[in-house]
Amino acid sequence: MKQIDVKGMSSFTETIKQLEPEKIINKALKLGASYADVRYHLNINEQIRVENKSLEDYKSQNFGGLGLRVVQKGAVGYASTSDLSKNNIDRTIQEALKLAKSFKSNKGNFADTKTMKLDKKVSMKINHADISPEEKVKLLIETNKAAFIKENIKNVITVMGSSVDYRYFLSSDGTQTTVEVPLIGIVEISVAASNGKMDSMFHGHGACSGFEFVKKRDWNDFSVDLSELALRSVQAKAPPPGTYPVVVDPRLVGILVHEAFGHAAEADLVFTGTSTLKDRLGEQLANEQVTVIDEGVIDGGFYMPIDDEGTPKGKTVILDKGVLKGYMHDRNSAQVLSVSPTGNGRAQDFENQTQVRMTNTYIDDGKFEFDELLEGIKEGIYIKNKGSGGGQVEVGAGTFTFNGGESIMIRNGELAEPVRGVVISGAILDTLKTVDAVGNDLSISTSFFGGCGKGGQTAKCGFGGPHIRVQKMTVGGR
Amino acid sequence: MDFGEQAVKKALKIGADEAEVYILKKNITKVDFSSEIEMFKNTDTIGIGVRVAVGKKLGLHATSILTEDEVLGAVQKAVNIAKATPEDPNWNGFNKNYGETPVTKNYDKTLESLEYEAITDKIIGGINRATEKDRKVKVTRGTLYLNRGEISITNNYNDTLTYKGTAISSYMMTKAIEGGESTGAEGQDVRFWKDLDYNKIADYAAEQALKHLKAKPIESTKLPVIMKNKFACFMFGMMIGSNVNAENIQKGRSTFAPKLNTQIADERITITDDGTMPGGYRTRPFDSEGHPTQKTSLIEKGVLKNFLFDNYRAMKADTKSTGNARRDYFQIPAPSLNNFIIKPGTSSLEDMIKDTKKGFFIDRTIGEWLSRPTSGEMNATVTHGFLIENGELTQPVNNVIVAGNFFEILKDKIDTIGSDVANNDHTYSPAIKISEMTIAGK
Repeated sequence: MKQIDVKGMSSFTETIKQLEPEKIINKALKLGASYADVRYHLNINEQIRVENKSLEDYKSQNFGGLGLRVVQKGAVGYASTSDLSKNNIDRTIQEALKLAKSFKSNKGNFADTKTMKLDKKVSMKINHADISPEEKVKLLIETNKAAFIKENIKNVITVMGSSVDYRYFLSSDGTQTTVEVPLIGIVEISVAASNGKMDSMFHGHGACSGFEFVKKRDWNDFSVDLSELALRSVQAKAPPPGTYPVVVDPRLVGILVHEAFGHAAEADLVFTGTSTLKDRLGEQLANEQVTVIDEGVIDGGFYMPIDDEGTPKGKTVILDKGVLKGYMHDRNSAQVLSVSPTGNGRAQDFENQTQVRMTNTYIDDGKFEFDELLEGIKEGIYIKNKGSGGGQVEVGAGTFTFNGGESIMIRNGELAEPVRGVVISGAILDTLKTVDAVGNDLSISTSFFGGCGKGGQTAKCGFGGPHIRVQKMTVGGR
Repeated sequence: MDFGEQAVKKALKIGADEAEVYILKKNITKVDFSSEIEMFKNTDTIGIGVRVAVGKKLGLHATSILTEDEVLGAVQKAVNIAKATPEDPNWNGFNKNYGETPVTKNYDKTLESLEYEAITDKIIGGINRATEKDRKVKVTRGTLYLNRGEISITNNYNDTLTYKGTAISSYMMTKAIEGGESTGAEGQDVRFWKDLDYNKIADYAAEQALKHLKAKPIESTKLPVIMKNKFACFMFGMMIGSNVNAENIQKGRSTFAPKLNTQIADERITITDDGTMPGGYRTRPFDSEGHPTQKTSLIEKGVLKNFLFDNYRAMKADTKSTGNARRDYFQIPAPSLNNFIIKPGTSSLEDMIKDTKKGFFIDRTIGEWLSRPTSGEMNATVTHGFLIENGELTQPVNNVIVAGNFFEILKDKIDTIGSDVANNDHTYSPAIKISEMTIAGK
């Protein structure tokens, strides 16, 4: 087989031709499968890390391989390999069938979808691979240096990640798709020290784009801004623990709606009874200002026009004016509920099976200006994402927690002094009910580095919303 | 000549001064289940990572595509990167101290011939166990991972070293519905198939859900807190592991940096890192650079004794590697814990609870990983906890945030160290009672 290098698409197509996917499918059917699909993925990626003004790590990777899903008497078997020799592919086909035959199940019953041939991609103006390592390293070192605005900045890490992800899909139903998605981003951590205390702040930007995304931004400003935030934060006090009315910024709203609500609306979790949203279709679950949408292609978000089962991903309304309208589905869960698949069957890579996953999940625009959200709050907190990282949800009980970044006290309807990053937690449905005002400044973003974990797989997602106000949220001190 | 040696030779030929090839062959069998088997997969991936040095300039390229052309292409790419990047003045060569420490019980041969049916039978046994005895409990989600791995390392100074390991990890989540709704979960991380005990997992997950049907938050307060062994594993492992890591020390991210040989913890605290512990979850004969593993004292009777090094960080500090290099095939190595072991005390968990007049018991949390090892700010959202009143677990509690400063806790607030050691992945700890922590509730 020919060498696969950064020439990308051409070598991807070349490999697929050599794999002869139709023959793989036919062989699986001949061996007793009632359905089979084959995926070939190639992810060409690179990460460069600069720490305290010098290059720390430059790594690049070609990650590729094949995965085969078969259905036999309703049970799904999945086997994958990165060794694409003929013998090994034959072994993989047999392994998938052996797996499917080893248990009883009906997860292999799929809702009908239209058979189609689709090729989708995000066009790059400048391919990441066409920029020399020297130029990338130089840009990152300059960005990193710019963050050292004072002696109190003790440590700065700047990382750039870029990838081009190629996905091929062919099913025994006859659907064949390819998707090409570039992804690029820069993140930075700035650590400030003051009076024996240390605090670190984290922020970044990313997009499904070629290298032009990096070129059109001033990364020095970004660095200075982040270090100023770290210096403020290390001197700020934490608010006393307790419950407060809060105003939450768009990025954090995105994480909140993803973690606290989105997972519970994934149909597979609904069926198994894991989710708190089981049997609640048609119920008013949130204030009528809250509409939640999952959409495959949207400005600023992750590009997901077709899922890994060959189903196009459109716009799925989950909460409509507070009322639960539907769940996110793959082909199996759609079949169980007799609805159409929503294009949410996603796999991290060829090593993994599809699960029901979100794409770009956001709260839709409301009508309030930012100032109006602050009105009427006697003592509360404006919680921002910038500087923070991460959250987690216990879908079963509906408990969520996440880290806020720099935050600002709200006193008598106005922004007051900054406070340190806070930890927030709450119960999903209680929180949605106490959202009492939704802003009108929707924005959505994605990240090379971030992602959503479920069942041991990470999926790239988009997050966002407008500013929102929540009447009551538990805030823990640090 | 295998791929590794071939790649090293090629690298030197096209201009590298040093080269190292790391090859991971992994086979994972994974089952996802709820009240039935949901998904079942088998995956075989070979990963090859080529690291090269051109003088003091470094590059890494990795690939999972196993053809001769692709592997040689990876070597070329790594050399190209190295040539294009700035020098690392601290570079002092790849590991020259190759070798193995004999270890036992880290490879389960039975996994090689385990039938898929035997796996599904064992899981279904666990699912049935959770719901038997009229328990109003449903298994909502679970996963079983069976990992077999073989790691080979070659560099231009040494021949190839190879070892095999197995790791088995499973968890089960349950829901109880009786009046209200509540959840439970339990997991197990072992090296041998015979040690995976679904009866134990199922019983704990089911009982936890049932006990929390009436759980609710409590008022914000300060209380003595007993951390369950697996929670203490995670919290102590993360907080101490990060601060004894030589990379963090050298980069100014550790508060332990100036404290070697000083009292940083209660004198009852003794902790080791041991890459050779029989059957330990991260036991291995050599680390990710081919350096032999060892047992390293981290804290001895409260005194900070050692930091954990890989080859690069050791060279920089003019000392020896402790055999703690860890990487995946597409990464550069960095120091990381092997098996983190907290020496147990003598009190049983039952006695610790009995001796607590008023307190709080942490069973399970989310978001504990958002704690900050640099500042010691520790917090976790408790999904499963209990009030302790007059020596007994009373009110089940959920949705409160427990917080405290870990370094203060370590030094001045250790009340009791339990005897019930359990492991959470590669960290080993008994239950630990803290004299006071903050609880943010209603």
